[in-house]
Amino acid sequence: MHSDLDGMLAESNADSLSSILEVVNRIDAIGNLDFGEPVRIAVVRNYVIDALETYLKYHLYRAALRSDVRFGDYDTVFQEVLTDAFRADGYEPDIIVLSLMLPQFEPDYEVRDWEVDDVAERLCGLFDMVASRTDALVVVNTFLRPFPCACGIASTGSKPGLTYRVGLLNQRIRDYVGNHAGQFFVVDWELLVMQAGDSACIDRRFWYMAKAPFKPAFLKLYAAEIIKIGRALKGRTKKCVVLDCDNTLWGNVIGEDGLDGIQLDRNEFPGNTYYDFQKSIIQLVHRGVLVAVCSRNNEADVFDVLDNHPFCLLKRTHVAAHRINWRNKVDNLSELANELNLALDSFVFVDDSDFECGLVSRYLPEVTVRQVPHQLHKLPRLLLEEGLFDSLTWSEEDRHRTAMVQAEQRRQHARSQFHDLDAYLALLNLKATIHPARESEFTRVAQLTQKTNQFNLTSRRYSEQQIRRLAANDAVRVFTLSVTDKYGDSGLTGILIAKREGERGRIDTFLLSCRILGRNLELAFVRHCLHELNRTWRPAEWLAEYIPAEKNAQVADFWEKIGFTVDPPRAQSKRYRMRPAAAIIDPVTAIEIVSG
Amino acid sequence: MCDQHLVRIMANTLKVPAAAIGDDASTETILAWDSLRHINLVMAIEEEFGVEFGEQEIAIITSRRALSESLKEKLDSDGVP
Repeated sequence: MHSDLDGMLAESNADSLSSILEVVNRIDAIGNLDFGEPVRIAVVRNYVIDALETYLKYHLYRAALRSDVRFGDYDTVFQEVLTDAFRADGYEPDIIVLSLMLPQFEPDYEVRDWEVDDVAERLCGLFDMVASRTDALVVVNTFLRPFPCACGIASTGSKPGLTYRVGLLNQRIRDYVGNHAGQFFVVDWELLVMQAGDSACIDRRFWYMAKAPFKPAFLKLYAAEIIKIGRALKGRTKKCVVLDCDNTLWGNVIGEDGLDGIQLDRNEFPGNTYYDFQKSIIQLVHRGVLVAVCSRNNEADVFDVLDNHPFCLLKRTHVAAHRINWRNKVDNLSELANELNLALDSFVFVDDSDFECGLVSRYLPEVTVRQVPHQLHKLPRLLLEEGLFDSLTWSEEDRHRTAMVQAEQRRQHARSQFHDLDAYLALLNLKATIHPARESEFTRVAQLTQKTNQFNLTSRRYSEQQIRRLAANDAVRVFTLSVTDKYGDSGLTGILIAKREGERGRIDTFLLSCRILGRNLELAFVRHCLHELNRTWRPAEWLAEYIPAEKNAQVADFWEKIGFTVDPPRAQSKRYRMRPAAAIIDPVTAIEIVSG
Repeated sequence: MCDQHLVRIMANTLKVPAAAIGDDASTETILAWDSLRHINLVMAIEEEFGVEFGEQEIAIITSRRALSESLKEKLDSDGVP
């Protein structure tokens, strides 16, 4: 795009007619050549609305679309449609705006009685006529119901009042559009007036003086609705929303404030604004928009919220892809685009941070960036207002898009990495024997605590004597893992030591011999032990930790990977917690577990 | 004070260069100043200055001078600088 225009359009939060005209006139003068294919819009109308052109162009230019807008003559609707006037000299409109005022369309309106059926029939006849003559999309409008109503406050039993009848007529228009989905669209004028208010929308002075009833605020909203259709038609529909987490999906910082400290309660401000924002996201998911999460966070913390927060509407199943890490968001977004097989220009990125928004805008200009508004009451409408995700139609398939994308990802994943391994493991007939350490095992247990360096979360070294004491203690449980497969017995190769501390359970030691790694045995082992202790100890919470040592970096993320939540970082070690109810991820691999 | 602003609004709505809008500019001298653009001009001035012209005024303010005077009068009486 012209760099001048970029700035001009970006800066122009042009609100007034004069400033919008200034921008549009300048782009018109340049020739708006760099915008690619134009959107051809023919406006067929029975009143004066020529000023709409400026706003149509303005919204087109802002969407980086070229404009070719033509207006039919004033109040020659039927003639123009019948003679195909709006298609003169090879002009094939993409969109026909059939813009009608009821007092012009029905001369008896407010003069003498008229029947809804009669007017609806003529109106739908006109729609049919347009539909039969063109493949263009047709945008019609509902009518403004009169207020105050001529029949005053009384509702007459015999004949419904004018306001009521216009309402019925509007419903007939909506029904027609509903029956012609994909080609016909309706702009509900009353909703536009609701947005900006009667006094900013309706100019009765110019209506009587020049048959020009609409003021700038209305024209701007009307044009915006029409251009939403143009954008969808030209493939500008955004397909994926990439969401930050802290202070975007919820208030506060999960890593610092914890599950109970984030703001997402639907009954409290500002939690309710985030809650409603999540509602809007779920609605988009149902329309087929993909949700990706991109956050500087610990993955397990974020999924803890998604899985366990009572007010979190966004669930794991809604997330098509995620990058929850401490890398820069530009790289993360590029990776997400690859993973989802989408172009970056179909992404909308939402973040609360000036820094992140600025970074993405600067290095990935094709991404649409929307910052969380400072005024949080505006957040719930952030993604809906502009119609960025609007498509011309939507189908049942859209509802399932996320699930389909996820299924495909799993397939790809299995094919690329795990298919062979799983098939291999399935053939191994893995058998894990797990039970509290026995007298005969104490030597081996102590030895393993002393020798195991790689898969060892805390590297606590114990003597045989210490193990013996631990095993005798009622508040401690020492589990051992012994593994066999069809090739033979690997012996006692894993240890988990848990301690009961009041209401909590703490995992003191967790280690596996490196010779049995790569078979998901660690998952089966820890799952089984915690299940067992949840039944007997009934702890309110599980605590775990990772203490860095010389060679145990490979397990630095183990706890969060399997479902624990990271506590605020301390000097030396990483501490974790988990509710007993939270499930540890399934090892998937077929492992027969023998306990006792 | 508001004269520059007024000329700019006239240039934008009438789609003529600001330089073409002399002191004597009117519907007589500027061809582009037709009835449709007059509506835009009036709406734009009202929007920018927060004023409102009556039906009778709209028919009269068809020159730069008349516009300027009418606007000054409104702004003065409204107490807006």
